[in-house]
Amino acid sequence: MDTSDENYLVCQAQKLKDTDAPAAKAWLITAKTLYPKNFNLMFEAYKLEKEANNFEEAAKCFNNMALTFKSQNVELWNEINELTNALRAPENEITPLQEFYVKMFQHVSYDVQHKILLLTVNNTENSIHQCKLLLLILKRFPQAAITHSPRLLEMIADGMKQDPQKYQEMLVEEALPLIYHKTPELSPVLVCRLFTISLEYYIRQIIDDEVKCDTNEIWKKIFQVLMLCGKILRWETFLPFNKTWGQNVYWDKLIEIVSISAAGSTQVLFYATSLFIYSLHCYIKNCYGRADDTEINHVLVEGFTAEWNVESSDVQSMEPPQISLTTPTSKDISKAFVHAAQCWQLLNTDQFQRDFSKLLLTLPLAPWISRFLFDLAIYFGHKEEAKKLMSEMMVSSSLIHNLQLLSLNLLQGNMTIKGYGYIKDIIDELPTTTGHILEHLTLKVPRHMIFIPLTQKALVQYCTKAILNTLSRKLYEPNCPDQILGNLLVLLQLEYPRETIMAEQIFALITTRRAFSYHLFTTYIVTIDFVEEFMHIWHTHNEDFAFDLSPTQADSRVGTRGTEKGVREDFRIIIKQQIAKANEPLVPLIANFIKQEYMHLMGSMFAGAINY
Amino acid sequence: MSQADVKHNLRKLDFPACAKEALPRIETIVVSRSKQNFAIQLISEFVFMERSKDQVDIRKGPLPVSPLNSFQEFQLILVLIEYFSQPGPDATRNVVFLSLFGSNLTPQRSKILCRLVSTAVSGSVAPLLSSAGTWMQQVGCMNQPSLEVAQSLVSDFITFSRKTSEQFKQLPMVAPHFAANLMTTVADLYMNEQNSALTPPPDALLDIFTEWISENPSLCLASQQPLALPSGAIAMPVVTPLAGLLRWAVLAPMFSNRISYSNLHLWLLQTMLQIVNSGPPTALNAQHVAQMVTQLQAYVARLQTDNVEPTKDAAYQKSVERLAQAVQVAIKVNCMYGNIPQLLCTLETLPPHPLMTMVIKANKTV
Repeated sequence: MDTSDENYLVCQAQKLKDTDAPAAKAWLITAKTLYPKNFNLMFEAYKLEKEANNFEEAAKCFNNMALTFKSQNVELWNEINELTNALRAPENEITPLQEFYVKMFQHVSYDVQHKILLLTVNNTENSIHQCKLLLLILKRFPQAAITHSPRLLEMIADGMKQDPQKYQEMLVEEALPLIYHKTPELSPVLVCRLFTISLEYYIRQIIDDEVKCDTNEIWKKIFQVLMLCGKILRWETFLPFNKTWGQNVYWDKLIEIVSISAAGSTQVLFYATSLFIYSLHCYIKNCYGRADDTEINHVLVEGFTAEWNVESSDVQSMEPPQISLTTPTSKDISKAFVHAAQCWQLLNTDQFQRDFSKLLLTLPLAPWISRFLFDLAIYFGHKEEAKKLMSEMMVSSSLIHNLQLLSLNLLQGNMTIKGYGYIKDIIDELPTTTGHILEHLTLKVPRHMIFIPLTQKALVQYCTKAILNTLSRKLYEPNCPDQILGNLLVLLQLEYPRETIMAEQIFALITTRRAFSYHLFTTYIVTIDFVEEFMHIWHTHNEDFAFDLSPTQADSRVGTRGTEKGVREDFRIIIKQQIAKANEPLVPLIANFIKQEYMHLMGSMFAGAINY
Repeated sequence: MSQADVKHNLRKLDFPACAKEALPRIETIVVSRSKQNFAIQLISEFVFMERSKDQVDIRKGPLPVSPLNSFQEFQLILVLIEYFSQPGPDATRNVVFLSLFGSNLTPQRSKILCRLVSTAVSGSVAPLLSSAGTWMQQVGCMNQPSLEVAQSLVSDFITFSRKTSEQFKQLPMVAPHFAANLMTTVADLYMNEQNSALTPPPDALLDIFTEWISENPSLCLASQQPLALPSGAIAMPVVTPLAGLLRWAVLAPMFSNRISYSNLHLWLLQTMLQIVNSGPPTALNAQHVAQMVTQLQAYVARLQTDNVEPTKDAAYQKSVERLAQAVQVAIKVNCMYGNIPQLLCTLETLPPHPLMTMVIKANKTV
């Protein structure tokens, strides 16, 4: 090539540049056809367009230069640097020249755009800067997402080793929104990794400030990411998040997908894991309620069965028990629990077990999982496992802990003295919320569970039931002492008029004895029907019945006919007194009874027992 | 219906109703490509009213009756515009247009044609302009009928118009093929040595052409669109406006320093850069380029008489530069046909210029 010729051409163009721009361009067009491989000519043409702010024409020149000369040329490399600086500049403080570069860049071919960016990315030292640069490119040129996003996503996945939080946030808050509508082709491994990272990020958000954040919004986003991953990997479409749908809607869909998927398929693994965590979160969220809320914590405990004389320990490892409704929220809780349990079982089948446990390890779910696993163990009646889990569980509330211990004790069969000890602890620590007496605490089923709300009434009711269940067995022993009959009557008051059968049995027994001594009568028997029943017994025996109902009355029973009149009078006074007490609130009364008569009751229940 | 019956029926009608009625009949005849003579008769008698009603005997020759008066001309133009605006195949419209104006273009018909096209431009009547574009190519863009139409459009829209009409500006959008052919023809009207003096085009015309090309760099190539003609009809050779407009750009420095010529020249180069040839080159005839050399030589001769060194004459230098640039780009993009080696030899006869030398050298060795 004759350099003087090429210099001549450049000179001619430069001479005309200011006076006759079109002529200068005509010179350069001609020159380029004469010496197509000459950098100076191309660069001159580029400069001319750049000075005239013709970004479209300049882009053509730039394109040619970039394709012909790569980046070995200093002047070209400078331009590339200027260009990438312009792309990185914040949009509101961009100079006119930078604006030119940005506009030009948009007219440069994709091929060259890609080359330039990769070149710059590769020449940037810090990978967080590289990611930021790529992000910026995607934001400015959304159409380039498909080309550039795979690299960005890979870099983010790599960066997780250095600074997990920063890269997590970058992925979830910045990168993913850019590819929702422009899904790139990605390797399944990367997609799974990205989903796990996102999941971790969102779960941490939920755990970190449960109170402040709108968890529905977060779940919506998690499902969005899930759908995105599904779209990229061409999975069967799952359902979008809808807070009004129950988990059963998702479970049904999951089952449908499972039925058409290969064993151990990734789609099922991820869909089931998501649904598991979603159900688990709903479960935990509802269990714990909220401190500042009127919602009440719930704890999964063993329910009571109607056949109180049947050893409940005989019924384990059968069908999972039913969960009875207690409070309005208990319905949601049990639904969430059951679906979490179903997912857990699915994910712990051989096909998923390995992948699922690996996945779980990366997620900050430990506090939820340990509670869930304990509940799951007692749900399935796995006593030994439940005990083991209990010993590993962190105690956050001694009340809940004691309640769980009590429930576990009940699961093991008859309540032991140790189990009875938990009742004392529970009664000592009753919450301030009054609550309601529960329905369905006792059912005629082999086994059932309840979500007990942490309220005074529910807890006292539960403890009472536990004591009643143990104590009532004595009723069928010969010569059941008056003390036990009296104690049973006291306890039966709480749910009266439920379970009247036992009360009737007791009264029948008393009637046959023609004498009845129970010094706690005046303190604890206040139910009007019970008091009237005593009056009835008194009358039907023509007032000839040896009642010894008051501590102060102690000596009068050993009387002769002369004192009879006094006895009658005493009985009337006592009955009158008790009728006056008829409106006394029963829950504190019974709680007090359990507290005060703790040792006494223990004696009744475990006399001669070896049930420690 | 016999031919006589047709005529008999048409004669019952007054003008312009008879023209309106005659056109569909003419269309049927020309499309069927038989009884062409009958079509010619109908056109003459019922469209242009060239024969008296009782003198239909061809042997006696046409007796010119009083030509259409201005109002009747206007009525006829309306009828024709309406007819050509109707939907239908382009080929049919084109063949009717060619029958009306293709042969025997009497001064009256020529006048009507000019007004018709002018009206169609004003009204942006695309189908009619499309037919007119085909007509120009078939009669030859550089031939008298086309030149007359072009001249009349320039008069109507440039010379006698203070401001260029929007419709004229939009012409490339409405009828690109017609606009391209019009540029070819108009280019021939100016700076042409066949006219005794080299007249430059009006500035407004130059500007509008530059605007047309810059907004649509492939407009000059629109001439090459295939024509919609009935099967069997032969399309006449295409002449793009490139050669003519390049001549303007090359010869312009001798008349004017207007930057518009620089622009025109640049856009012509850009147009050539647009060309992607799959077959042999068709856009530019080497012979047309060689003719510019002749004109430059004449200018050199004049300079020499005035004892001016051509290499010192800025105008001459600029002309040669533009010529050299055009030749270089045309050869490079392979859009020039004809005898290129001969053209290069002709270029060598000009007083030497560095760029021209480079171009000749570059292309001789290739």
